[in-house]
Amino acid sequence: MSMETNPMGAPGRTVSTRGVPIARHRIGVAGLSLIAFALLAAASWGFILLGGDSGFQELFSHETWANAGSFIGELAGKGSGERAAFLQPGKWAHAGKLAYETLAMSVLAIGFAGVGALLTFLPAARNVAVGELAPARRGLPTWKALYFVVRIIFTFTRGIPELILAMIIIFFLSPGILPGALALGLHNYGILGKLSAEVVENLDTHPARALRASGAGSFQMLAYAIMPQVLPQFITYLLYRWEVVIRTTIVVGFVSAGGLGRDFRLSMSFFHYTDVALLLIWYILLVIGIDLLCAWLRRLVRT
Amino acid sequence: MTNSTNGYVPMFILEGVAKAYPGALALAPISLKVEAGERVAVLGPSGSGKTTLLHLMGGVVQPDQGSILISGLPLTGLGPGRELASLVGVIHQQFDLVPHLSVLHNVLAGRLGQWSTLRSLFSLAIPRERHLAVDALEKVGIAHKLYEKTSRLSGGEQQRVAMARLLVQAPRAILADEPVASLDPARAEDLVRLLAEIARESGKTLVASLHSVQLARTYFSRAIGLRNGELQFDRPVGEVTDKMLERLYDLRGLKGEA
Amino acid sequence: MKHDKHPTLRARVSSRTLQAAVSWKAFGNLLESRGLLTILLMGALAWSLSAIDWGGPLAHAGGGASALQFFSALLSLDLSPSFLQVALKASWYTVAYAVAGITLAVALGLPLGIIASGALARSRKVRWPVVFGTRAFLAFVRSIHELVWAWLFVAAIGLSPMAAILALAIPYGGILGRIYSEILNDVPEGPLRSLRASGASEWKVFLYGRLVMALPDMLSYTFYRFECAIRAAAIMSFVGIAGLGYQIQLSLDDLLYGQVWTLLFFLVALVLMVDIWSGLVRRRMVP
Repeated sequence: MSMETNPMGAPGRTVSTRGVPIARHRIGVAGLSLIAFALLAAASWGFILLGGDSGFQELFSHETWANAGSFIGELAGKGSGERAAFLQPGKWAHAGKLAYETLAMSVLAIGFAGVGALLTFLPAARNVAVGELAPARRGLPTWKALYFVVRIIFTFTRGIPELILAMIIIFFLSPGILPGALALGLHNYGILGKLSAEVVENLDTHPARALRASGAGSFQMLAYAIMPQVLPQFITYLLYRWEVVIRTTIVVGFVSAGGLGRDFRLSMSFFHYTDVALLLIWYILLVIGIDLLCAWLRRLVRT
Repeated sequence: MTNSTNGYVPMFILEGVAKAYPGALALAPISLKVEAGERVAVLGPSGSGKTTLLHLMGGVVQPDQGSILISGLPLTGLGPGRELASLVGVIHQQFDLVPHLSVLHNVLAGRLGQWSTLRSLFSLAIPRERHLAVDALEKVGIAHKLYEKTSRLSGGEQQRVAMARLLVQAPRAILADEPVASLDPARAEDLVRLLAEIARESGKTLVASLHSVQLARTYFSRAIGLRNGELQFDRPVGEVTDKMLERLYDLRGLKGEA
Repeated sequence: MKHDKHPTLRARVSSRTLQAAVSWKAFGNLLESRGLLTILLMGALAWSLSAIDWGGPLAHAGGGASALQFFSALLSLDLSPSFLQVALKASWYTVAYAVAGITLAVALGLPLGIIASGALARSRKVRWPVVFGTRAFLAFVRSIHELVWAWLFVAAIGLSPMAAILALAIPYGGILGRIYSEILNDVPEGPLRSLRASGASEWKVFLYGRLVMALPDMLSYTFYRFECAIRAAAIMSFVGIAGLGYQIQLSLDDLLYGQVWTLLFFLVALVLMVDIWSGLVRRRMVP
């Protein structure tokens, strides 16, 4: 009865013994991507290791380990004796002030990003601009254009790393907290905007459409049906981005000369490693503190 | 203790088995014997202890009192593992398959007890003993779904995949906890018939808890009635009267009802 | 119901968004704490604004002119073949470093993440020190930004591509490890119990059940990190190694804004490509 093309037990039997055809197994997109990535990885590593000058050999040399060891030693205060930065309360206070500035920079950045995203994410959602939630009266072309414009802005601002944005901004703003905050804010604006737009796109639209059917205008539909669903998720994203921003402010501070980053760069260039260690301690404290704060805030929003 | 042939040692022996959960007695002391090859239906209202009884018989939970022997072996000695799996297999209302895997892999998972770790890993990439899965799937009627992602199948089809996995696992007894509660009546009957057929063909013992008395009467040989954790009756299916059933399901006097 | 502890995955978040979306209760409670939260947020923003030194000049003298020059260069991108070649080469370097960094990060993060999830640890005595230790290590390692790691590495062992790759791989390994451990823990218990009942040992339950079910989300997040790695690799090249960042710095120093814009476009294009690729894979993997 069977119309098998392969004997039983051989791999890839295409028809069962009762004559029922079995669908063939195909390598899907995921499989292809895996292969593609494996090739990319091989090419990258090959290029790096075989290109010479990669520093790979040196990693395992005595000299490298010795250098690393002495670096860590100097961070810990070897050779500085009493001049070590973390033994001087004055320096602790100074670094603390810088940490405060860094914190302010991060809040400012998140503030810019959050406010900006809240104001502009709606037109970036497909279902709001041209889909089922679109306002009926307005001209369709303008909304579609707006959708693309906002999406492109998001793509650009989130594609360019904060440091590069800061370097550009420092060209026309004087050094301080502001340029750093702007750079971070701009970059995260793109990220938050895109994430929020996606939240709207993935919404269950029934409540909103039902509301519109019972006579609500666009703005009311927004306020009653869309925002309540988007806001909790938005806040969660905001808090998460804050955790990332606080880590990046020190880096942006290198260039924008604000907060811990400014002194970090200076101390590194003067080889004052104990100062660097002190700054790092404040940095880690700041990061852990914000992490805990955000975890608590998230629980507040959730319950 | 030797494992003599199926016909001589009862599959399950429960003596004075009771189980309590915090605040409630789930199962009052119960004693029963199930012979190898029997098909037993467990009936009763929700919360009457049917699931607890099956979990006890399957070794999923331990009794607070009493002893359970599976094919002559004490249950407490058999932890979850290969040996227990070769004696008893359980299917639930929630099919509990791995949704991301293909049907083939979910069915072959029944062999994990027998395979070495290396072989298990290897099989994920290149399936081993594929014919076992194909044969099992043919018995349950969905061989053509071999390579489909499990999550794409309908409820009834997924339950069949669970059954196919059980066939591959090849235990001596099958315990089914409300296997068809989430299916429509036509599909439910189909599945129960399949289950009973499989049990009969391979001489396996089958104990299933059901809501439908009609299915019990049609496909099973013996019926056990549980109410409020107590054994109400234990009779051949032909001797179960409507009056007994009425008393079994009576809302008055049920725990949890006003 | 488990709440998402780390809301970074878009796919993961979408299904949870749907859950949260239909729960008006969440909004109701938000309303109550919303007043408090709004006040907190406004207050925080106001305070941060006050920290700026508004006294001094905000902009450079001539800053406005520079800005205008910079933005108008958008209209005069440098698209000459010779420069495009430079940009392409720099892009390849950036991609290569990013790929190397992320593969190393996965190699570090996967085993550490599995350990940190506690899914394999059986005995309580072994479990807590090891699991806790791993989690603490991961937390420390990822609290430092990759660029700070880069500075430290360069100061310690000198400038080289490997220094940059390690500086990328270590914090990213920490992040991946933490996320992997969370995803592994969030897996539904039903199929695992069922596998155990089929006779599988703990290891096999882990492989066939936990790992398989965690894989789509893990892959999705790894792709996202890859996108971040591209940006990070671009920046790392500022330190002096080849890459887009290095070229941007060169062009900025020469005030060749048209070139800067070209390079920025390349960077954005790279990031976008990875984003699209990850979207494609993610869509096929969700059950």
